[in-house]
Amino acid sequence: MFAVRLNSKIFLVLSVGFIAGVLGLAGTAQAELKVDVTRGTVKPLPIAVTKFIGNGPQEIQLGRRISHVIRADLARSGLFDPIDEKAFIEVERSLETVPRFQNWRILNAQAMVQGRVAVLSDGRMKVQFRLWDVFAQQQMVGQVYTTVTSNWRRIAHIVSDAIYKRVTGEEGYFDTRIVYIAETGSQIRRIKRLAIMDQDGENHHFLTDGSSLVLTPRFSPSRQEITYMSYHGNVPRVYIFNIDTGRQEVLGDFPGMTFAPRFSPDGDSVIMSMAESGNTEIYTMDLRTRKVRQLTRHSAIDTSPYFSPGGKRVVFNSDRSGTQQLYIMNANGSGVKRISFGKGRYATPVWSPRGDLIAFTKFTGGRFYIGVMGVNGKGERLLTEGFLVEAPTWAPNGRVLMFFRESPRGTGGEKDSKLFSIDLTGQNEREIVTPMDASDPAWSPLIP
Amino acid sequence: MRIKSLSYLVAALFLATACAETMQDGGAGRGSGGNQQAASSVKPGTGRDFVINVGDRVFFEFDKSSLSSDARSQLEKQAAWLKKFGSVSLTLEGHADERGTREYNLALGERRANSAKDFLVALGIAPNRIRVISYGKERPAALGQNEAAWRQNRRAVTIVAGASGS
Amino acid sequence: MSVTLHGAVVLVSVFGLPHIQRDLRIEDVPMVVELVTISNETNLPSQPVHDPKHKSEPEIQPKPKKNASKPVPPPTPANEVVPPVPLPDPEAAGNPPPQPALKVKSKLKTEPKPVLKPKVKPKAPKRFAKAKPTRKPKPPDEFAAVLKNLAKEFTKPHPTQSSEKNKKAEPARHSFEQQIAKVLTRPRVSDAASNRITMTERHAMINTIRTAIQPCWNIQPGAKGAQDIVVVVRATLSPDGRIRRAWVTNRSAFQNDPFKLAAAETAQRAVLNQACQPFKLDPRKYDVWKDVTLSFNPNEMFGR
Repeated sequence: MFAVRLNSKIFLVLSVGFIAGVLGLAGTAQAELKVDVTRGTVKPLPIAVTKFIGNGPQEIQLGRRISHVIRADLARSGLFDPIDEKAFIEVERSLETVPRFQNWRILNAQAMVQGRVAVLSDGRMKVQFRLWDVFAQQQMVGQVYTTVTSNWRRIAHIVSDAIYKRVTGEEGYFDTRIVYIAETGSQIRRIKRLAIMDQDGENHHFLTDGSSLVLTPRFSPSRQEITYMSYHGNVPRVYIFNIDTGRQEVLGDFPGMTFAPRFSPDGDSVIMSMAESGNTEIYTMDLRTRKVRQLTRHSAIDTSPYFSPGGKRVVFNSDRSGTQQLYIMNANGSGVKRISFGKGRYATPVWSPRGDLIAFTKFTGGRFYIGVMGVNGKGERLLTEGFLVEAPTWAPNGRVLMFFRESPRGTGGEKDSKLFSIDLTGQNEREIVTPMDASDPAWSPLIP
Repeated sequence: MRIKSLSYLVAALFLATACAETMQDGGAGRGSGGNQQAASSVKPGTGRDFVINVGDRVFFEFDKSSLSSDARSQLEKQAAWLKKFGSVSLTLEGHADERGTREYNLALGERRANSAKDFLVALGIAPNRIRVISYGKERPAALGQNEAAWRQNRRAVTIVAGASGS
Repeated sequence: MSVTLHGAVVLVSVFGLPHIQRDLRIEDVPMVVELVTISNETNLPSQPVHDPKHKSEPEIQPKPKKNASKPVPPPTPANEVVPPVPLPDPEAAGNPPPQPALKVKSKLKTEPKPVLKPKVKPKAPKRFAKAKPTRKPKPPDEFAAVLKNLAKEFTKPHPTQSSEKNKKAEPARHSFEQQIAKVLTRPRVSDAASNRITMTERHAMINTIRTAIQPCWNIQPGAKGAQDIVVVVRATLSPDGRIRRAWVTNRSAFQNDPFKLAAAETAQRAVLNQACQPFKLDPRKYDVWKDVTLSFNPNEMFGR
């Protein structure tokens, strides 16, 4: 198919030329060459990230750390290929002169980042950076930030986001955090704790102490809050955790187990499942009025609900057809429509922040898959697979997913559980290193 | 920071070890109605009596919550015991194997526990004696990535007051 | 024994938790960020870009912190100002001459693509010329070559499905090209005059440039709408087959759309990337290839 279409373009060019030829116009005087380029490569962009310059040991150290974090961010995205510093021909000494582009071109760097750190008299620091297009020899973006020095890591992520946005045209996702479940101990009696970290695995903290089983956390899009499920007091319920205060609060007063919570896009309500008497339905709770609304009414298991970015629709999984499949309904519960029809079971749908795709977990043929499909269920694409891969969560720009992967360890039945990110092409899968086993990741929105 | 994480890891490992021992101490009844130990050594009406002389669990097919004939006869034995010791209250735990997504398995475990509960109630056990809880795939009874282990994990476990955990 | 161990754990947990809390507070040190955009005109010494006081734009004031344990939000990207980009060195990038034609457009998804009519009648040149692009619905299950899809692996039972398609297309293309070549090399078609080139030669030149540039075009798969953008770059070549100047036509049209701008720049970088040059073109025909228009469209790569 592709080849035929490629030829069609050649053909068009040829036919135009052919008419010209027939009319006796062919020759050097004819219209200039027109080249249709329809294929490229998907290689990451070679970029040189230089050490941010500074005076004195503190500035120099901060500069080195910041550029190191930027380099790691860009490399992890899979869209950039930071060039090894050792290959650099010279270090740019100043931010006020145009770089010697030929030195970067030789390394085949297509973009170059330079910056400077200055610690101010009040103890804060000023970080500047410039991103250069090496071939076009022009600045693409340049910014200055002032903050306390302890925020150097965050500044580095913000710079990475600026670079990512300028080069790709899309929002970055480096200045974000991950909330997940840290796991220890035997599978028989796993200890699970709520934990939070930067998207690159740094700044790791536990939020709960492991005395209660906790599962499936999600960030609020608007507040410093996490909703999750806890077995506190051996009563499994949905809770809200306030990151600022550390306060945990059970959500609502339900007769049965509540689970699978997610915030609405405006952060004002939580959608979740409640199981009672062997039946699981989907409910929303308004966080201000505490009003509860039942959305599904079916004897099947209806769970893992997720709002569309505009909050008007909900995707969820249900076994009403006999096995788990994905369904979409209006936010008031009307208009339920099945969207997945492929072989196997579909679960944990999550709506892309862009609105165009739904990512899911699929189980078929004894293997688990992470995949995406259009909102209409068309165009299913499976990105990765394994003994168990589960629970995709979107980066705020809708280009990267994170999920967890369990793999058997040895023959004793124990398993490793790790977090991974994968981009939408399925080509760039990377482990997010955590201090211990990990599951149920949820990506924060861009830090407000 | 790293060091702190490590200390938690160590703590968690301790806890895990401790709990594993608890398991071996208490979770004797693996099969349905395992009565290898001498019945005489167990005090009637206790959780231990229930686990050893009656059998505390029933098993389910993959992604199913319907009761097999084996499961039904097991629950009949449980009901008889429960009638005999009418003051004992019980918790029905629903579990799933690891071959499913977490949230769905929580719902499935709840369904299985209720399936067992409904049967016990039909046999005359008062519903207010029974509490139901689902652990989904969070608390397997058997380790192993094979059908034999998974079968043991797709279960509903009846815990009577005084009995050890599943 | 078991009890002792539990006890130990409790101790660790109780002492550990406050540490966690303390850590959290440390992490959440209030963040005060001021942001100004560095001027692009770095080659103007009169405007020391590192000094925010010289900025024409007002500095963004640090937001008052509401809560000691909560980071103060950094400035949003909306504060960023990207002025028109100057070209400090015309040697490589060049200034665009007045160029009315612009091809940057977002194709509507609903618009089917022109597809070649499969039948080529060698002996009917006029009909050949009339071979207008026909419209043909896209195959629904065709996926981007660059987009991984594990599903293909287990849809193998259907040998006629998409995975087979590419393999089959290859030989078909050759025979098709041969057919075209046959038509085009007929004496009637190619002019005998020495200063003119045959369609075959022209075809070969286009192919040479295309083949050379494709490895240098870093497209971004997975970007929303990436497949709908067409970027047209005009270029002037030196007699040695290298690009002397290249510019995206009517670049200003997407200056305000960061995504289109980024897409346009990938095309510009592809043309300016010397790693893919010089093009192996016949120097005697320099007049023919000294000016080239390149149209970049990843549509077919995405297959939809």
